Amino acid sequence: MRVKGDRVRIVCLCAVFLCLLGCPARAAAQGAPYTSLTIDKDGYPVRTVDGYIPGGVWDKIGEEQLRKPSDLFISPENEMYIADTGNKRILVCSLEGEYLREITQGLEEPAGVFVTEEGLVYVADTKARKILVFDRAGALIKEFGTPVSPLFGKSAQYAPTKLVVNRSGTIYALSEGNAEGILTISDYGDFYGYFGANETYMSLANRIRRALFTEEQRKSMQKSVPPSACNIDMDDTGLIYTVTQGAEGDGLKKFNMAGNNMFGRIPVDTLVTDVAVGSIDNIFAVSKQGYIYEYTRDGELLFHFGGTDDGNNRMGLFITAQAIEADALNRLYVLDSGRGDITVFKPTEYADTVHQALALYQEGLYTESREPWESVLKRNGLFDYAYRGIAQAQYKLEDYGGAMEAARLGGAVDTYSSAFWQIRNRWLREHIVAVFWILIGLVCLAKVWRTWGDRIPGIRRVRAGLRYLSRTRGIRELGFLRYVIRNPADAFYGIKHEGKVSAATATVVYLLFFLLFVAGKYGSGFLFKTVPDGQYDIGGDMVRTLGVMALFVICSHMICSIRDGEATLKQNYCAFIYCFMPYLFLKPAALALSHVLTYNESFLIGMLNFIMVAGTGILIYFCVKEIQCYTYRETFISIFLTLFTMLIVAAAGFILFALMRQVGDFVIGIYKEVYYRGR
Amino acid sequence: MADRGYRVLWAMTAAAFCFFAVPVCARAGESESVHQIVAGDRRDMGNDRYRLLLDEETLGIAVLDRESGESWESVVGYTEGNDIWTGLCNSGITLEFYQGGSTIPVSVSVYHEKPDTEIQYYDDGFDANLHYEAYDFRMQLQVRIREDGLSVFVPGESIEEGEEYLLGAVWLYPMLGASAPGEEEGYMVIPEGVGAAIDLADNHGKFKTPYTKRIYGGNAGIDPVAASRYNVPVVTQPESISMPVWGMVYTEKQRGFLGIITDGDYNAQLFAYPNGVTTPYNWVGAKFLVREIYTRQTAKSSGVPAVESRGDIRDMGLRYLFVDGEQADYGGLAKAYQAYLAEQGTLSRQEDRFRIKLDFLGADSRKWFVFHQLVPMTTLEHMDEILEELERLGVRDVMPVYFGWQRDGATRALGSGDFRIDPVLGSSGELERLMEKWEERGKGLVLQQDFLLACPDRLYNTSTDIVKSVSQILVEIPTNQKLFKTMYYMTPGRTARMMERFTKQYADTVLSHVSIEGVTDNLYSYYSSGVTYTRGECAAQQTEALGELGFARIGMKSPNVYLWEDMAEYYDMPMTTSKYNMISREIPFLPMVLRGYVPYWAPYTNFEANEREFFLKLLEYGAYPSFLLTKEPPVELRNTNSSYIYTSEYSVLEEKILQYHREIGEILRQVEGAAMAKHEYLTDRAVRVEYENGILLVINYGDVEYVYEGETIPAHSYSLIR
Repeated sequence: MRVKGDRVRIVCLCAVFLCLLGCPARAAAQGAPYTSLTIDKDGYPVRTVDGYIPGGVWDKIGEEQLRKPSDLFISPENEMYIADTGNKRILVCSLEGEYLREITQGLEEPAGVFVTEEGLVYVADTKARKILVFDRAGALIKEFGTPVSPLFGKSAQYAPTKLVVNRSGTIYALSEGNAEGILTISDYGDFYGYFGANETYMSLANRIRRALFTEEQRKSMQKSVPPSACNIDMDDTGLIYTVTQGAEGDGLKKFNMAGNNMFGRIPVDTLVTDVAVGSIDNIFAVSKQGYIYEYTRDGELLFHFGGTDDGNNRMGLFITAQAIEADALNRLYVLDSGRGDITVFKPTEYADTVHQALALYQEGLYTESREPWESVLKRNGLFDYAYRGIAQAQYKLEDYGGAMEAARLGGAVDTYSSAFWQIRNRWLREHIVAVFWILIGLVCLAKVWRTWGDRIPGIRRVRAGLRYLSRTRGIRELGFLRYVIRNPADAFYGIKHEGKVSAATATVVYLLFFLLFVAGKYGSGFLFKTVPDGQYDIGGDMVRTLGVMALFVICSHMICSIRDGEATLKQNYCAFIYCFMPYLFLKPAALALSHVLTYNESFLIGMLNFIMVAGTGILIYFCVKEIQCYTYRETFISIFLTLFTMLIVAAAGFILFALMRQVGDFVIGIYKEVYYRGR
Repeated sequence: MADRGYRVLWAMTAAAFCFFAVPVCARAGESESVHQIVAGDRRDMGNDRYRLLLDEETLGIAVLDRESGESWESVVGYTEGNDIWTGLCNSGITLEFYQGGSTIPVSVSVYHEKPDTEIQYYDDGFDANLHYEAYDFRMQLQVRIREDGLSVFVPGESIEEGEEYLLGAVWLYPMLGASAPGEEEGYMVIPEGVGAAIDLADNHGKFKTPYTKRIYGGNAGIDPVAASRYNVPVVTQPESISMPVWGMVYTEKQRGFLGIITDGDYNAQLFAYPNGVTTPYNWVGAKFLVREIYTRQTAKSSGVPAVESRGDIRDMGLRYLFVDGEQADYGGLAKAYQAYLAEQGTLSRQEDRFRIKLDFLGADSRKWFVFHQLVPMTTLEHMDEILEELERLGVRDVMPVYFGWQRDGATRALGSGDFRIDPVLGSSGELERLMEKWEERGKGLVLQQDFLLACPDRLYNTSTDIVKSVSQILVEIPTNQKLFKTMYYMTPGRTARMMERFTKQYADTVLSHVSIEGVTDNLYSYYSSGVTYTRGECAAQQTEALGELGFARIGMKSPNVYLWEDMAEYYDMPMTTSKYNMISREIPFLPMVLRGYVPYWAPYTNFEANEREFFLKLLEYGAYPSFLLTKEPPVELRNTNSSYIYTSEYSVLEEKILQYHREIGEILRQVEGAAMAKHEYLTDRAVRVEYENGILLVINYGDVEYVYEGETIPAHSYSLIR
């Protein structure tokens, strides 16, 4: 990190230099004791070529052994500073692991270290409760104790653990037990305030309790304190990164100057311990369990590798990974505080190519990045991020077909939408006249069909056949769907009192509904599809659609039976599916439109969806009201009670299922125990 | 004569005196003194080359080289540790017992527990009958000096155990060749992956755990099975040990030995202790396992630890082959093992011709709504086109292997027993015609079959066909894939039936060359139809089944040594180790054993992150390259169990195949059938490889050029010196 100048140029120069050598191979040993993953377009982890391979372990620095070390820092002079906490010192070594010097003056429990471009060494000492500043030679020149500003807070803890310093000398420090945020301290020691605090996570149960409890009860509840960030880093532009344990998707944050998190949810281990920024603003994170992550500067996961050592000391695995740093060549240094050693990871040829492409891509040089992205894809055809890069390049080159294809593979929906818009626009320009002619032709044909149809024997026979079909009971009952929208009250009355719909036809409509649901879910256009390609869960779909509908019908019947409703179960069953008439009519249209619309016109599909949901809701309301002969108020209460009953039944079912499993396990357990003891 | 040799023997006898108040033996060189402590008439055991000395009290031995005066001792006189370690270090034999239902072993050494011992001396060794009265246990130890070293043997029939104490494990001379830091320069050799050396230098206690690994891999019938995980990086399986050997080399004194387990190797564990791990000694040896601890499942997800009731009581034997002079290095040990295997008939010379192995994936399946859909990746027609294209481009030395060709593709076909080709890929007639066509052109098609895994998507007779652990639970092996998260193992019985059916299916075709995987590197104890089978029995069943496979050439994927007799080609040879911190460097032990006898191929080049280094490794180890190929892009394999394949498309890899054929072929064609005479590290990043036919290759892995005898080898490059 903290490499000056144009990073793209550096990466390119490195690549050129390596090419001139004849090959870009590094001295890394082959094989890694872990699999490497990346993330695909749908957010699922997939295997990738190893990006980093362990190249060596420093179990000693010179003759010095580390004791419970807790932080690493690579200075602009390419020297490594190690917070050797257990030995109360800052140990300085070269990037080859050779001992250079150490700083010990006034240190009690150094936990964090940072070195500025001027060579000033800032140390966060947790036990001494101070931030100490040393000059290049290791002489103590300044120290900052507990801030005295009222902004700091009377009960706030001051035990600095990690820190970074920006170019103007402002210190951003984390303090043990202080959940207010990052402490901001001027180079004179004035406390500016807190920055980038984490949010409090409160469970739904606690939220409900807080809403219902009295003031006194609320006071007796455990105080909800946001988790404290456990490590911090800063990039060349002064943006601050933090990692927080137990914060799930918010474990890694990148703050803008205003203290707002620029990342969404980032896949990171819950026991994340450190973050570092690489030479092209790529971000590295490490977790206590030894998992190492590399992200783009926008938080897209590139590599996820590493793991926990089982005690056999395999190089590249860790017992307690505590800190990570990256040098200008993207070599990674990972500190294991449990073992007191540092493992050096070297980027592979593949990772070098990815970084080369990424550097160009991030600078907006899309067409230039195309070639290295293609090289990446030759090595790894499942690296979706590369397809995104290629899609951008193709779009810029106005190869919209290619851009669409690559965008689809890379899951770049915005690029796909834009490219599709261009292609559709071009097609419309070229075919608009033909389209009009076809439309006119169709209108004419319809006219002929209506006016002259009976005079043409073929059409006459077809029409007669259709008339015959429409008179069959099944078709007639299906046609009754149209009547529901014209006069819902009358339609539901007809279903109840006149037997307009049989149970068999209703079953066919249920199946039709399910087929449409499945078609909509798995067959929508790429831009509007909500499930990844190739992922099917038909069983789950049945439960979510037909299962819920059946539950509603049964629960509704149960509730209405005790609330003087007049409909039978069969009437409930038949009428309920006819409430989904808007869905049955509009879903095919939405499905067709999803294949021809882009995001520019997505409101059309949104509108159709709204009509489907709202229309169905209204029809259900009228359905219950009419077939049960309720008032408006009774209908509302019945529906509410039905939904509540559904919840209760689902919960009871879940509990019953869990209990049955427990009983099953118990019986099997007894059998096995008896068998074992009796042998 | 080594000072250390005297010292150790002195310590050994002194310790014996202190504890048992018996006359002590003097320095090893003074044979008369030695014979003072060995009762009986036979004063001179040994042969013209070696002399064997025995301390009756500890059963410790020393082997003296009459020519050089150097000796190998089996006890080290260690008194600072606890009883377990002092016993192990000061005894020739140490036993482990399980008492009653306890799962904590009791260590019983000759040093601490004085057994009633009767020793029968012979010219070349002795037999010792041991009786541990307190443990109601008897066994016999036979030690003989041979022309090339030493043999140690415990006949299985001599082992008699009572009911209270059950034999758990046996250590036979584990400390032979042990040394304290600074005493000797050299290294220990372990057959870890491709081979590894651990230096004897003082490591100042930086290692806390020893190297310990089961020979022939883990035991699925005993070991707890990990959960199948596909959403986090998985720690890869460490390389397994496929040869029951280890070595010790003293470089300064130019002597060394190779330890070989000759009997009872199926249930043995290899240990290598660098100095500072528990004791101050560097030592390497093996432990024979007789009974193991397993989790007896008493509930769905929990159980109690239990000792196997039926022990694997069997013959246990070791051979030590001593080497000296120029042979005293890892290459010499490898050659000694090669000669041993050749003498045993395990290794025989096979046709060795440089060929690039091209594994074509036929198809795999993915879920489609409620069904499974076949994803064809390379049809017969595609494969034919690719082979034609390669021939047109001048790539003549290829070996096409077809896998995933069976009905339902690579994953769902596992365990099916249906060996017809999936109709989507082509018809049986087309397959036969293709085989005939390429057989005529000298590139006979190889069909690959896994005879171990069974896809859980099918129905099986689980009492006879599917492996159950000794706890009688179905063994489910994690795939770390999303579609089929686990696989079953087939019992050797079903494997044999499937092999018979496979042979019958292709008996009338020109198919003469098959590739076998699964059974080749997996050994397990298992429960089936009321009987628990040991790993030894499993190995015997697998070997018998493979012997019945009616094909002229059988290529095997990473086979264990007991299958080498039937092996014509070795596939997927490990090219590295498991990266244990204590390993000082990788050594080509396995390639040096195989070279000159059996051709071997490296794992797929596709998946190598550092291609150039891998390229150089192929040259260094003399391994032929392999590629995994498909006609269709690998993106089609998403949502299948083959989704680990991220690059395989022929059009993408064609250029690389041409390069490997040209550049690697140019070198390795010259050493076809030639043994590797010498392998030497010139620097940490430069190696010299010499073949018995005179070919000399220097490989430079470094970032700067390297000059060898006036010839400059650029960085990351190689040079054929002659």
